[in-house]
Amino acid sequence: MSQLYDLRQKIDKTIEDRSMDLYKTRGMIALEAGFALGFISASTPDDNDKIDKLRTAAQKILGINL
Amino acid sequence: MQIKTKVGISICIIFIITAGIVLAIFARSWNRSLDIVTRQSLRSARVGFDNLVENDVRALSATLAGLIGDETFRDPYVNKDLEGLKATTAPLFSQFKNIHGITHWYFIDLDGTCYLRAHNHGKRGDLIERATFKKAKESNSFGSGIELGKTAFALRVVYPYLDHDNNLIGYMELGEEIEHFFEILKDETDADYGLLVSKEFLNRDDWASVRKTKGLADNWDDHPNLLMIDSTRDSDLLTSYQGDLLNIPTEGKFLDLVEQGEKAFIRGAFPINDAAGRKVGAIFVLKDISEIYIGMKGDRMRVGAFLIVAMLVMAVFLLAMVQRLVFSRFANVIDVATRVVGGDYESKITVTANDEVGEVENLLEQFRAVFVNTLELAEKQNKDSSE
Repeated sequence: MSQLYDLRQKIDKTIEDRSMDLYKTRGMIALEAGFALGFISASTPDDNDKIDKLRTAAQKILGINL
Repeated sequence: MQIKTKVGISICIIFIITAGIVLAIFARSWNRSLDIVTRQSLRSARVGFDNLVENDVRALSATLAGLIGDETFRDPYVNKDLEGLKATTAPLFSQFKNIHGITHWYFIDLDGTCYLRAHNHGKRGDLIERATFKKAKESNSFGSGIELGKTAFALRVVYPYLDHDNNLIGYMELGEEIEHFFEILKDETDADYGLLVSKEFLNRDDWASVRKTKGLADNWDDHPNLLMIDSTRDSDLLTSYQGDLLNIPTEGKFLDLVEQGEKAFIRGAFPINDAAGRKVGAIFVLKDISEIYIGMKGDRMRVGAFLIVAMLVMAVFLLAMVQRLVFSRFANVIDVATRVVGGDYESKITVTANDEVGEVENLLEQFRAVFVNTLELAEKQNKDSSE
């Protein structure tokens, strides 16, 4: 399982735990990161630049350090 | 800065400018009203004063004409019977003084020497050089006008004194002090008056003596170059003006507006010339305009309050309208776009109206449809390749 996919799952879990609007919150993170989270699957190869952007976006939108 | 904020600031600026213009127009109208009230007060005072002078000149002239033809006085004067003249004039002068306010009665010889002052037997033999006398002498007719004595103004009328055969034998003069004019003016115009005289025509010691005799404080130093010799109101409003009153135009001039507690007064003045045409002083006019002033002040406050409320209501209304017609629709578009990116491919942008924003909504909805199809295809391919 790639690191990117792991991050995506943690983000989805946080959204679910907080009962936030899933699509809207994911959309905000995607717009912040610059790519859609729907394309991240278990086989998506890791890309350090994308991992950094996703972490920064999650920090900004959800306020969590992944 | 958000467009909403910019629009809000713009609306506020426009409203502030509009309010400023309205208030400026109001202030101008207020000043014009004040000017009209002042000019009317000054004109009433000026005309009233001139009428009083004219009427009293006429009354003194009529009295003088009667006296000149009366042999009771002419004979002792022609015969230079001083005691006889004193005896015959005394009871009549007493009547004049008490009933008609006539305070001066002169018999003047051809060379200008005062033969008798019926009002002051002790003083005679001096040379009369007043402008009214000179006018009568030069014109061989009536000479009249206001003349400043040592401490007061007097209205004087002089006429050539003729014998049976119309030969000139001297001059007769009647005069009255003009203080009572101001009480009459006050009753007629509902304003207060003060008579100011240039100090250069008065004697400081004489004035101090007069004030002392009347039991009044010496007011010589109240004004730098003028002296208040009479007033209808004992108030510093009449005396506190320190400006130049001698160079005001003949028709008068508005000086200032004074607020004192809940009262408001306008102050104005017009010059007073003596019989020789010299500008010797000024008549100060004090008009209580509290009723008009309070009304106008109230109107100004009401207009100001109305403007503020009206502009606040309009600002809220305009911002609410812009919010509803533009910003909330853009917010909806942003919301749908965000959800689509987040994977909600069912959310659609609704075209809410057939206007400029509606065109943008329609375009973005078309774009969304293409984008969603592309995303779904890409995700499917992504899923297939991962399987």
